[in-house]
Amino acid sequence: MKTEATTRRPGPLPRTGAAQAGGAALGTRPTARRPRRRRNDAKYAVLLAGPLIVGLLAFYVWPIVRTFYFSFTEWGVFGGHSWTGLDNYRTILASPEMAHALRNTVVYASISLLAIPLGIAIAVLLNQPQLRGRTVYRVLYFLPVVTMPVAVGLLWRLMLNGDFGFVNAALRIVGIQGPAWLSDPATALIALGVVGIWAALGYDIILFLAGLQSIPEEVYEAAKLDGAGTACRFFRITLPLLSPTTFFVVVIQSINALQMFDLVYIMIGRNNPTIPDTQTVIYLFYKVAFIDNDKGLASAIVFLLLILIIGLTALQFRLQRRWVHYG
Amino acid sequence: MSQKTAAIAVVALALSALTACSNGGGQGTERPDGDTTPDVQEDVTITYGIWDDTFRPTYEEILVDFREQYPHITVKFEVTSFADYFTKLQTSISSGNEPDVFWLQHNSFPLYAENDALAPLDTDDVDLSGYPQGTLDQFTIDGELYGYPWSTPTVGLWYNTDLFDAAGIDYPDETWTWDDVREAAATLTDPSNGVYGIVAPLHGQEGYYNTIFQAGGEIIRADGTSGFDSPEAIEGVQFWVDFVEAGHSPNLQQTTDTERQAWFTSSKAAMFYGGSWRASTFASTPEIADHVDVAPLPVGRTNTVAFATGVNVVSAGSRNLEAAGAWAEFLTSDEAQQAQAASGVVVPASRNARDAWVESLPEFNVAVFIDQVEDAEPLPSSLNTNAWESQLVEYLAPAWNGAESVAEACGRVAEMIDQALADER
Repeated sequence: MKTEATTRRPGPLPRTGAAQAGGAALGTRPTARRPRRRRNDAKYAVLLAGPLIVGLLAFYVWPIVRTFYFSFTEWGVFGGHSWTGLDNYRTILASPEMAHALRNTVVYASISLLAIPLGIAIAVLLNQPQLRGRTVYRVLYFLPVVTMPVAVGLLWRLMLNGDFGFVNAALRIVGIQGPAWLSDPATALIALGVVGIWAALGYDIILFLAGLQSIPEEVYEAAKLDGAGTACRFFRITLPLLSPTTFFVVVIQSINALQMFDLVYIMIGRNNPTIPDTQTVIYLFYKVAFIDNDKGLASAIVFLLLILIIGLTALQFRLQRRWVHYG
Repeated sequence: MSQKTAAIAVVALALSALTACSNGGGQGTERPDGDTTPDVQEDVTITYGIWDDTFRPTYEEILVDFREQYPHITVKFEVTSFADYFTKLQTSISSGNEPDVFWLQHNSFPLYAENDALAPLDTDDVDLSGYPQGTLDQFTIDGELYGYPWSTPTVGLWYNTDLFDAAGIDYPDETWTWDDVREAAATLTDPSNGVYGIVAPLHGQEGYYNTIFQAGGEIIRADGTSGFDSPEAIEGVQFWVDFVEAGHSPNLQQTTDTERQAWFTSSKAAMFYGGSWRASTFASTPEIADHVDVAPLPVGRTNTVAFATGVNVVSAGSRNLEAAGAWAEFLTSDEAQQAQAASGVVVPASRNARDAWVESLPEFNVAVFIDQVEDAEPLPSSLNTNAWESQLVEYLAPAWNGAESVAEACGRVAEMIDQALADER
């Protein structure tokens, strides 16, 4: 077996005595070279990652710190602020409007999370090997994801118009008198939830398709040999092996759904009497910050939401060992 | 490429991306502090903030004349829709990006004046004789004028002549009372064609403010309390709710889904209490231009109509105060007022331009709006009008939906307004 002595070792790997001899053969001093190369590599690492880290600090971390500070202040109409301590937090925790907005947000998030079972079902259907036109289906499902939220909101608003909208016109054909979807408190939040499902479905489907394709065929074959039917294979094999993807989608989608603002702003709008029954926490934040001009209170609202989302995500991570099967 | 070169290239690229993000736009050249030369000769660009895009062609015409006098000043228009106008304005003032000259109305003016957002105007060489003194006084603080009034929009009864002809009713005129409107609305409502007699929106300026005044009520009394729960005010609001209850108007959900004027312009409603600013839009909407006209508002106990006063103000934080003042002043001149009136878009504040307004749209009886200014009451305003006005929709919605009686809803509105007024003090 050849000794390592004649092989040139790259990088800052620890050298064996034989290699040192090899280094000596190259005519350099090995000990002095090692720390200098490590320092150089570290320097390049910092330099290359630097812009991203600076951007992260400047545009994410620093604003969070500032928002936390502003949540303890009160603001004047055109700027300027003064310290007021925990007043803003006390106001929020006692405010029925905040509680209502939180309830609206949770209801909306729950409805829009129905995109996940729907996405799994559609992904499984799309994954059939004998399906033709799979690419077409994938594009169609993904189109809403790449459409601007404002365009989505405006279009759905027109379609959901109580008198002249497409949805109610279609219902009239089958003899159903549709409600005024976006101005009836009973249906407004459901309508928003459905649009939320529509907008997010494509993203979920793409992720689930990728997850399905990572399930090895041998597992299914073995199951078939053991006599497992389709439903059994789906619930006992597909779902458990898909659970890492499902976990990821649940976490990401619940974070996004809890922060929904654009659909309320575009589809409902501030002069709609259903606003108290549909406004989400972020919409309330917008209203308090920019319409009522109380930026201190708004900072407190948004910081509380941050704590809530962090808490929920931490809870989901803890629960994952119960239902997520890795490898 | 070596690691070093790669690293430098990445950092340079990232830094150049950062500078590209910075706010480029020109606010004009920086004036050195203490410079008091009256003649502004270096090229400046000022921004003019407005909320109605229909005015832009008129202003661009006026701008041509303006540039003959001040060739070095360029005016850029910043149009923001009315719903978002004040939100954006307050934010832009806080961040120092506000337009140099912008529109306000008499009910939003106090907030900006109180908070030192406006610059006093140099009126030494300006001829303001065409403007009623009362209007000018509204914008004068401690003897200095802070805004040039430029429009006094009022509200009239727009009606669809075709629908009136088909139902065999005489057109509305100055003799009409509330009962006449109610009768006409009942006759004109045609459920089989989806046509309503009138639009009864949940709106103040084009709705209940007028009828509250006409019933003899007040929204904010002189003593600083709210009169919204007085019997007169309740009558004024009940006038509208009655139409919805009787089915002669689209209900609240319908007027929320489809804007109030859209019901009128699509001939699905025969009558509409609409502002003077609707005139030029209606004239250029082919579906209705030939068969709508306007009459004075039907009389309640009195003839009073709600009116606003639009005013041009200069921002205190403007970096081009001289140029901004010059533009705002130019808009008060007879020529500018007449150009604005002739476009049919606005009732001018200056008496000298009123004829131009009357002649602007011969197809409509727009003289009505001028006549109504005589008996008009300003829209209610307080130090922070928006604080309570933005909540009126939420508080009055139950009355429109029939969930609450008008008296109950008005009672709660009055409480809310009283609380807001107390907070201002």
